[in-house]
Amino acid sequence: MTSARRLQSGGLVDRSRRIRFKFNGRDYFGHPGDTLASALLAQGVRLFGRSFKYHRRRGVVGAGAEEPNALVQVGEGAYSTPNLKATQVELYDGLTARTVNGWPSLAFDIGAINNRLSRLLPAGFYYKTFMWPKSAWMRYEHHIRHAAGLGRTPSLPDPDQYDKRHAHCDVLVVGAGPTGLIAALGAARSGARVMMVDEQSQLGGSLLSAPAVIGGQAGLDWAGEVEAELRALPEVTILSRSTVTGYYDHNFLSVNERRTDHLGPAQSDTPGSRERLWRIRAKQVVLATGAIERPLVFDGNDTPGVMLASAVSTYIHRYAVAPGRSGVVFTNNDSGYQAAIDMSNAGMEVRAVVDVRMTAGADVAKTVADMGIPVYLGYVVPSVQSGLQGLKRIEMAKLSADGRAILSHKGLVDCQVLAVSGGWSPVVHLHSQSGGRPCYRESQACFVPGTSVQDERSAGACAGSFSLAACLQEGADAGVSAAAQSGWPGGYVDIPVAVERDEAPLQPLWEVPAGALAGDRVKKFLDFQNDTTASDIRLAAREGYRSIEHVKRYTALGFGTDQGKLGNINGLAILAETLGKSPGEVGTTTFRPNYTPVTFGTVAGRALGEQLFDPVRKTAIHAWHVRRGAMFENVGQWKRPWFYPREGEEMHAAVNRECLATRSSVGVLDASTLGKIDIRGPDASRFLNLLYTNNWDNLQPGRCRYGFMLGEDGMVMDDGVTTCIASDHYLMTTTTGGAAAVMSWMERWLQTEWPELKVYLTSVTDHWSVMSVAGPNARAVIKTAGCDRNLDAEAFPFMSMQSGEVAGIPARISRISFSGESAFEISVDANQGLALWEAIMTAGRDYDITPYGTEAMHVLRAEKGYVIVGQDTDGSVTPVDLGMDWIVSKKKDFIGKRSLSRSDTDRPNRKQLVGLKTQDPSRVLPEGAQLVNTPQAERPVPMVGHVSSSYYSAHLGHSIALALVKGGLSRMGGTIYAHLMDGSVVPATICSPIFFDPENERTKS
Amino acid sequence: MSAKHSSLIEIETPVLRPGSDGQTLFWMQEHAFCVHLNLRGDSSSSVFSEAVGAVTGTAPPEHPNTCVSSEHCRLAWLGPDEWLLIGVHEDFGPAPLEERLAPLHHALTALSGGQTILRVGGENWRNVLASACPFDLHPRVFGEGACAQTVIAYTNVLLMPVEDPDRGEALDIVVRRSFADHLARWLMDAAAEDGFEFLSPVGSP
Repeated sequence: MTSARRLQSGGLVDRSRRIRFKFNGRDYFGHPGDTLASALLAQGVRLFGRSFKYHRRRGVVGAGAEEPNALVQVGEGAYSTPNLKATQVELYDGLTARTVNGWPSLAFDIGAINNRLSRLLPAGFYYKTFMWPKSAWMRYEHHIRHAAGLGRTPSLPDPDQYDKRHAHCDVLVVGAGPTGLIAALGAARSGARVMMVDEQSQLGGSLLSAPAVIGGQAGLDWAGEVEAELRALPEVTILSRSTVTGYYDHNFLSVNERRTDHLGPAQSDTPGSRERLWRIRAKQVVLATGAIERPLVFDGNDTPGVMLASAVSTYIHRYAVAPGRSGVVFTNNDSGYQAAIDMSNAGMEVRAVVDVRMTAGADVAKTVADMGIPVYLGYVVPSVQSGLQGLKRIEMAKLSADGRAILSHKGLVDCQVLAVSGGWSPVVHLHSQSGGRPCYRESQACFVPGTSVQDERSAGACAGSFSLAACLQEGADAGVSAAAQSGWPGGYVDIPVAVERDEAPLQPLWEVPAGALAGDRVKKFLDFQNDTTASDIRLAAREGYRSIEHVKRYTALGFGTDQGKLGNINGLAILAETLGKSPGEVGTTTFRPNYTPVTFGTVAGRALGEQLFDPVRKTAIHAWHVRRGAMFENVGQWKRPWFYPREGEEMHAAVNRECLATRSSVGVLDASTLGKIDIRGPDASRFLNLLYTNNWDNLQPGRCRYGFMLGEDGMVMDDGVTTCIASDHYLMTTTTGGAAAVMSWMERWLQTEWPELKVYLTSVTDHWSVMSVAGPNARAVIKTAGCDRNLDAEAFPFMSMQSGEVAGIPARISRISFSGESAFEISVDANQGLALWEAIMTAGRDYDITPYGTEAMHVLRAEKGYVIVGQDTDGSVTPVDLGMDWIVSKKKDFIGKRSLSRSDTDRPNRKQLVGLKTQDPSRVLPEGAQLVNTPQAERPVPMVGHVSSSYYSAHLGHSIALALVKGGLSRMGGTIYAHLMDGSVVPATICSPIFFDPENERTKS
Repeated sequence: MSAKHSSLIEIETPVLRPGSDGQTLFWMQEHAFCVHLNLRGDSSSSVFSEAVGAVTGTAPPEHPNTCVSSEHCRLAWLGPDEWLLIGVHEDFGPAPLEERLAPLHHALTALSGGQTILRVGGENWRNVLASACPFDLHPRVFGEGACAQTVIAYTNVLLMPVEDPDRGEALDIVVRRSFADHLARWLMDAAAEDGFEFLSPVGSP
């Protein structure tokens, strides 16, 4: 095992330490500072993967986020992550990686047959072929997905932790290249709160990849000094290994920080997150995101060994890796020459610089000439030849003046590396996400940021300024002015001198014509990951596609995990040429978040599991329920005891026991979760009259009344009991789930429609602990606990409230019953709720007092025909439908009144609430069961209603159900049929929904 | 008088759990059983402001998101016509204020059982809260005399910077009783990496 391609000196790798790792099962090593890609290149690996569709051999093209080919699955088991770019994976000891494509092996891939069949697999192939027969798509899809394969999702739960952090700053600088660094410095010196976010492991951006002199010192030394000053400032936050992935409204940006990926999985058991999602609200944003080099489009441009010129320079400078023994540069601009200089300096034999243009910049031309590298002006590389391990030689040919034809074949040049440069594409992604529209700059053949829509500005290469001097100037200006606009005018920075080169302009060449060696299978790739070729774009245009958004979807251009960072601009330019338009007229596809992929774990953060996913609201008595072994039910965010099973007891046995105990002796329910709204003011009763359907004028202090609240559509919205405490003071209760909505509903009417009403609302839901003591022995239990009020029925009638003390605790005692029993609801300051509950349980011991949960509560209330809003109603039910027209006042106005006389709400044969008794008394209908009149009728059988509540009533000895049935109130005694999922039909008799104590003798006793 | 129970009854304190490097950069202490009164009224009425001032020792703050303190209580702005009064002492009751406000349209509502105060501090408290609180807690924008109604971990809270007599710079989080347990568990989880200490509650049952 050797590092054949590792240079003896230079680079930012630590040669003193070796890091061992596995790639496709083989052992390799690299050094600290390496990426997986650089370490493999250093050891002579050229083949990194297979392409998505044609399964062609692919090598590394880039050196960063733009890499389309070198996709790897890193890690094992639960720690496995698919589709990472080898160019971004930092090495750690024991890393294992495998290519995501290639079966059964990378070298021999059966799917490569697709390459031979490629003429049968044009753009849109899937759409055209697999649409017939329609029903087979599911089967096709399975095989297509297997054939495509882009990594494997781990099947085990993710063992890592993730978290989130909200942050605020005056100036956010995105990118820590020379532009970002000087911008951050200029801003930070003002005293502003500055955040700088950079995706690399080390600050410096392009300075890491290319030699530069800034202010007379080495570029990285300058960057180091700037970083040191920034880190010393208390209001500066620097995030490395962090990518700004999204730019949203109101200058809200998301950042994905990778905290431990470079250390490898499961570093320790200590708490700490693998990745962190930052949610940053910035007053001003400076985008310094740089630019990505474009490849050139020619036959075989996907051959391993064809790389971006800037990537070649990066591997040489940053990683001290010469990616081959010999190289050629193919460029249409000056920056490609740097790769020739770098390759030559790294000891590679540089056989040619092939330049599309007739003139090169004087400075680079001279340097290259001095090094003895032959330059071919007006030439192109129309094709390449390759062996099993990638590039072997290139074809060189003379280009016609208009760039559309090959004039003559020059010959073949042997080389292992072809460094290509088709110009630069500014990274305008975030500008575009912020709402800006990138516009086409003809002179540089690239899209640059348009007018800012939010408080952001682009500086440096991402704004189309590619020279170092311009980057420093623009960065400094952007940083200082961003700080000033955020309210910190004191920023400053001296702009260090950087050498300006005499440059010749780029000459766009979107597609190289086929050369003399062209066979009949010319493939010029645009999107390497999805195997989209130039001919696919032209096919799409021929088939009538005009919009770049449609062409993208038809050809899959830019759909890969790299999101077309390399190929999109070339693709849209070729579409423009085909359509006879300019690239600016065609425009770009929409840049959407996220810039690079984000793990689901990061999005979830810590909001996971029973405990933290959503708030769990607990009553003051919750701990007691837990001790008692209660099973809980989620009601909104509340945990309510569902039933309290005894050891070995099934749910139904427990519920039956709880119901029977309450009917025969005494039960107790924690009712604290009901919404409670304190209503005060001289207009309180007027307000209640408007909210509720019934009349509230005559309710005396100390009395309670049940009410229905309707929406404007006349449908039941909420219900509850409201107590008059004084003529200007009421306490309203709402359903548990509806509390917050009712409170805002009431505030809305007060604030927007009836501001003249003198009413104040205060939510007191959490202040009161409420327990309902119900059953024939309820009164005796409370007396035993100690109560200073006369609890007898005459002195303390049903639907009244008195203040007093229970068990020495100040309490409001109400005679309200949702169980149909003689019941007392006791409300106390929640700090003493548990104390009261325990006192009641102690006092009730001789009466075998039984705590009951929401399930028994449901059964007890259903026996009485009491509805539950949201269960027996669904937003389409009026009080009249519920057979409760007695609660709807004819004399006054209230919200929803007009809707009750609409033709539809007023018509006969609406669905109405009825009771159902199954003809087999032990048969309990499933809730939601559909009801029909004649099960044998021709299909589709007309459905006339559904079961809304259904239980077995242990007290009555038969099943009971509530149902909404068309015209049900006029069908008492009739038969109806429940059609069940298993095909069976259960007959039931329609009856009154009140199954128990219709005279209310118990509740009043 | 029977026993009172704090809303953090299921969370054992004191608990000290240092972080990965042995550090403890966050602490929390419940201030239970304080007197909480919600006040609604018209602060443009001088009678109202004077009545409040006479009983509490300070007029209700009119500037949004501010709070004031007197020797009797703290008063936090909740809305143009709404304030929270938190008594400094246990005997701060509604009766005297109720009496003064009687002639005016107002609502003075006891919430003492309905909410509690979690006081947090330590070197890392802002970062711990920033795990789930979108509000800017930087001292430049949120310092003494400020208050804010926001959310932490999907829970509505009122935040008030305070100076803890024993532990220095701190933050009072006023939270509804039913959410307090959830919030405390979230803070415990968020503070785990850099260590935390949950102290025994202040406030005698």
